[in-house]
Amino acid sequence: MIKRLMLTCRDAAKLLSISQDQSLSHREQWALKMHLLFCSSCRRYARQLRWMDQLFHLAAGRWSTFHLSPEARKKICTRMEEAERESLEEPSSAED
Amino acid sequence: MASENEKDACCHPHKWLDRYGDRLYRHALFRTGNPAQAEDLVQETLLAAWHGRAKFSGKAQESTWLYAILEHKIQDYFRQYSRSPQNSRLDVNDLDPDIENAVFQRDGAWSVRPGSWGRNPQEDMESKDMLRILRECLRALPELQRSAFLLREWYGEGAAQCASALSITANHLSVLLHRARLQINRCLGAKFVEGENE
Repeated sequence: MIKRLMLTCRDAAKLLSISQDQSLSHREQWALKMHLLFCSSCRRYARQLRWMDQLFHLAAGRWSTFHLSPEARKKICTRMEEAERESLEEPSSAED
Repeated sequence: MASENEKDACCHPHKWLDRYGDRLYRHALFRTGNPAQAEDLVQETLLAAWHGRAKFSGKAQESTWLYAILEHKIQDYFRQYSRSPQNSRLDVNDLDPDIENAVFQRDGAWSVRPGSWGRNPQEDMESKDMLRILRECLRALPELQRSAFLLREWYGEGAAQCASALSITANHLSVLLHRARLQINRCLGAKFVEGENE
């Protein structure tokens, strides 16, 4: 993706983001490593990206304890059944 | 053309509620912070999905299709909500159409050096303002960036999965994620650690 041997911070930030989602080519890995060796700003950004990733992961995990209440579930269910009935009563509108 | 059986199997609203109800609810709750509102949003989403079931192509996964509908509903909710003046100010400031040019100088160096924050996610998660800050920073993102970011970081979907759910190329996805991360990073830096000494 990035051909230059010497990366700018702008290039490095992009590669850091990509590396969160997929593996970089050897060339990219090497160029990024070299850049990070000399650039404390990008090292900070790299750390913050990992922090963000972990934070959202933690937040999502915390949310796993929340459930729709039985009352809400029932209410939604009733409303869905109404919608189903309505659509049965007017068969012409949906498909075809 | 799908047979009646296939259609039944793919689009039964009760199955949606059983399978995805909690997941949709958590997402809505995370975004709005309001349980009653989150329940309403789940209901609206499932109803909209039921009415629009003919449009479901089966190309995307059912769960991401429902997620996309919910995302629109959340957006509508915020649009109404942000009409009140105390909320609109924040969005305008934070929404940057060209984040890369704002964050980097012409020569590719950082315009503002990243701060020293971001050492301890566990501890920072406990900060009572963290959720509000995350919500605000997410809201400030352009829609497609936010969808990409949330699918990836909140739902933990793989990159290929995210791209196909959003009907975009892998390349486009990495651009969106990169911009979203820069934007959120800057927003967090401003809101979470305002005035912290380096």
